[in-house]
Amino acid sequence: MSGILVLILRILFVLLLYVFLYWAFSVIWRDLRGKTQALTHDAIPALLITPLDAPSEEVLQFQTSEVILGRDPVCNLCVPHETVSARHARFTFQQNQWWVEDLNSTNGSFLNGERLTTRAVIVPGDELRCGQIAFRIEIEPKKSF
Amino acid sequence: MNLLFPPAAAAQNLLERRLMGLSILAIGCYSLILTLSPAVRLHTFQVGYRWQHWIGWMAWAVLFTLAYRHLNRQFEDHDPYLLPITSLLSGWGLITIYRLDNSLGYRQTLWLSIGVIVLILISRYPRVFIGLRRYKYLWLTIGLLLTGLTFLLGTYPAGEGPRLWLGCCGLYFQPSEPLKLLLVAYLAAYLADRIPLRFRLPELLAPTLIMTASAALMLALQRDLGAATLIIGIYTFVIFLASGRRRILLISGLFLLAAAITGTLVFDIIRLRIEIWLNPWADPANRSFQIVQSLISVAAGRLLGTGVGLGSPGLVPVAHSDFIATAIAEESGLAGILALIALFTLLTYRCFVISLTARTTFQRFLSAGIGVYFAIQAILIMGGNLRLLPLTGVTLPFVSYGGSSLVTSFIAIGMLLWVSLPHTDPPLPVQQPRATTWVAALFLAGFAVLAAFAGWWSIVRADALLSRPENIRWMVNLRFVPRGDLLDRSNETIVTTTGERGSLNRVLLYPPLGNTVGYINPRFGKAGLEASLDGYLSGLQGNPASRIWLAELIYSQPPDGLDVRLSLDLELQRIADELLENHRGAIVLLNARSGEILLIASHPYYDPNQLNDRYPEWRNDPAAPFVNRATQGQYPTATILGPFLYAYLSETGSLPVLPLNLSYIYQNQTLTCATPPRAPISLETAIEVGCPAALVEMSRSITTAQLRELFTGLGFFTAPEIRLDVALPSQPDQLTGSRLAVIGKSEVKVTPLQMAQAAAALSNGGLRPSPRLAVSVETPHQGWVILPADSPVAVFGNPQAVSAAVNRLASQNLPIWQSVSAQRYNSTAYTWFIGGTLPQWSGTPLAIAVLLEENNPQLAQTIGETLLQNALQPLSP
Repeated sequence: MSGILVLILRILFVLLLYVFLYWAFSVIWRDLRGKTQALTHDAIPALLITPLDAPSEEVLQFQTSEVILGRDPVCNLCVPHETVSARHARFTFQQNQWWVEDLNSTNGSFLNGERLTTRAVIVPGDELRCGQIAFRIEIEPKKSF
Repeated sequence: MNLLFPPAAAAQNLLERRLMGLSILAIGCYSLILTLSPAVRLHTFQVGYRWQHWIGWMAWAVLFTLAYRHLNRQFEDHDPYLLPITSLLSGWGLITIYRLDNSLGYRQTLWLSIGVIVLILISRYPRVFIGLRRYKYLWLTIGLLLTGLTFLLGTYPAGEGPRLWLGCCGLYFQPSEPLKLLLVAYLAAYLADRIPLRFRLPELLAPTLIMTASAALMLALQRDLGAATLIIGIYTFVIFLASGRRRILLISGLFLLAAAITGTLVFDIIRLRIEIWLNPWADPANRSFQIVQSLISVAAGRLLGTGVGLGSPGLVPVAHSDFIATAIAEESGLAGILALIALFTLLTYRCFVISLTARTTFQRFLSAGIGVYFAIQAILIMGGNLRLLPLTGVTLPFVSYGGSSLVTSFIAIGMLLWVSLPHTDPPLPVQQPRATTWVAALFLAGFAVLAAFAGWWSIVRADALLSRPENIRWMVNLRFVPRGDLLDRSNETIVTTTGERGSLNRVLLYPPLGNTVGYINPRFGKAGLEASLDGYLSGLQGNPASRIWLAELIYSQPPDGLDVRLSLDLELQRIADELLENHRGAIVLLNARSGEILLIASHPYYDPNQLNDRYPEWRNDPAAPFVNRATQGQYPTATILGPFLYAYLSETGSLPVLPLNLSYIYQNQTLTCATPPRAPISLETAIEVGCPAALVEMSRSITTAQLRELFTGLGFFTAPEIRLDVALPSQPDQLTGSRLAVIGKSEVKVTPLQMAQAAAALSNGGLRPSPRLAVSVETPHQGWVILPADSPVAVFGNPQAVSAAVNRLASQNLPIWQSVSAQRYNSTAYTWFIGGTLPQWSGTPLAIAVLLEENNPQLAQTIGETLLQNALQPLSP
């Protein structure tokens, strides 16, 4: 009889330990998921890039936190033009803003006509020229969630 | 719970309150199990319960309630995990220490109070941390000086041991404990000053390396190798976190390896530790006693553990400090040790999370360093307990007994709580994000390997470990679980267990059977039938597996032992022991058909009931009372083999003629008959009294190879299969010539038991039975179950010829055949008597062998005839 009573208590003790651990780890897990979600595409306002000189004015949409523009086919935005370097410019989403920077390209990048020397913040409607190719850049309004 | 832990405004307060509540409940449950544990051990509620540890529980609960309230006022929005984890770990450790030793429990309660009060104080005055940063060299130097002081003034509070403590009058502290934390603070402060300026590895290393190396060297000189390893580990990981050079891990790892190798070559203590770690099974009784006991203890816990207060973790030396994880593993099982490892993983994880969100670089490295400090310490000691790593004497933070370690750990938690306070500054850039990931992954892997090792020992290897001879839990069970009785063939008790659970005592009711029954004794181990029938008597064999499993689950004990019935007849045994009183010798009487031993006597004997008092006396007694002469005494055969040769030669039809001179001269020594043969003198009557000439004449008709074959058949070259220690039998190549062998001058020696079973072959138509002593065992479901016996061996090919020959050897007055012989060997004389019923005897066939270590054929004959006569009466059912 005493053995069964204590067996129940022993099981209860182990259960309490694991409820403790479950609670702690589940909260951590939820926190982590929340944070990663905040960092993934849902939270990133889409970057809309429209090539201005191309025949069809097709709008390209990006939701990754980094977009690389260049002649190289592995780039996110591939521009097969001889005045564009293999890796020409990079867009990054950091601190709730889209930034653009020149990746030491041969012919340089120009934001609204000014040559890019450092990282610059993009605002909707900006025009970016890489070599002889120009783009208009829009940012989709941030979704609320 | 709201009463103990009132809600606070902090965002994560709900989680903290819940976890604190669970922690209080869990430790309360644990304490309750400990209180009730005596009732489980003794299977009754009328016991003295354990209450002392509730003082510890109360103090612990009050202290953490205070800490919770205070922190929620002082440090709003602090990390919600740290306080619950700390409370659970320290409460678990505290009650476990009470369970192992109440007086240590009271001391630990005192240290816990100091620790929590220090935690509350430093959370009230967090400016001390700024001072710690500013005067980093001063603090570390103080730490080093205090540690250095132990060289001069060091003591060991509990008597003889490494002198690592400072203090007096019952209050001691170990300066190496705070030194570890001071080193972490120093490194954090130094890195915080340096990193914003310019980052160069050599500049970074120079001063810190000197400080760390001096600390490590000082600890190594004090033989505090665990602390030295810990300090090198902390340094390596903190510098790696700051620099991100994987090379540092490699170099430090190689350095530790090189240090271990040189240490192995130079210092005995390190070599010892490494050897024990690599091969603990080489010397489990002495040098690796601790680690082997630790592994067995972990195995004894299995999945659920025995329940606190119900296991035997006290069998591991210093279970309360170095081996507390083992005690928890035994009494809370794999489930418990995994939870413990998970708690440390969680603690380490929180340290790194706090480090990443810290406001300043100092805080970042401080909290990361504390994470490293906790993690390495936990992995080092738990790894040492589980034989993952060589044993290093560091404490398990919050859990182990030890004031300095506990207070230091609470200060570290205070620092972490301070760092975890939210701030509005922009997040600090992480210089080496990959280094943080690497370190976190390494520690996670370390904890995972620990968990795997715990599972390996407590589940996979559990049965193998528990069946090792080093597992001495049977000594505990001896007092708590009634052992089965040994009964004679008419159910008269020979050995029984007296007393109540908790103070059970084993009593041999008929002491002259001491050599055969043996003993089970915590000091001297197991011997005789108590050892060979231990499985049944202890209840671990013969009981249904479900019953054993249930008893182990509910009571953490094997079920009650089973009674075993022996073939012995106590009435005959009493007569035999009376006849043999004051002589040295042995008697074996057995049922010639079934091989059941009806009596087995060996004199002088020892009384197992007095073993504790008289062991040394018996050990040094030249009469060797511990030797069971019936099974272990090997004696030359003298001229007793006549009946066997006679039967053999009758079968082949080549019996010789008896010479006139019945004596025989061997190497200037005249061998004679034991007594004058009765008239009319014939080969048969000469054999009856062992006349040497008769045997020598017979040996002329038998070749050495034939004699070897006969001896093999008689079982002289095989050890009897019996549940007793038997002497190693003689080898066939020790029989060099048939003449020497028949007059007992060859190297062939025979035990009385072997002689008795050989004699049985003559009474049983040429079939030699296998002797048996344990007949049946009383199982709970099937009643008395017969224990298996070996089948008999045919010695002679023609039963009729043998029976006819044995009939010709019949005695004058009794329906028996017999032979007696007495010969002198160097300083001792031996007298043999063998005999048995005649083949046509309609009752139970019997055979007997008597041996006396003196020249006394009359006594041997009296003993043999009296016993046979008594046994010929119809045996009691």
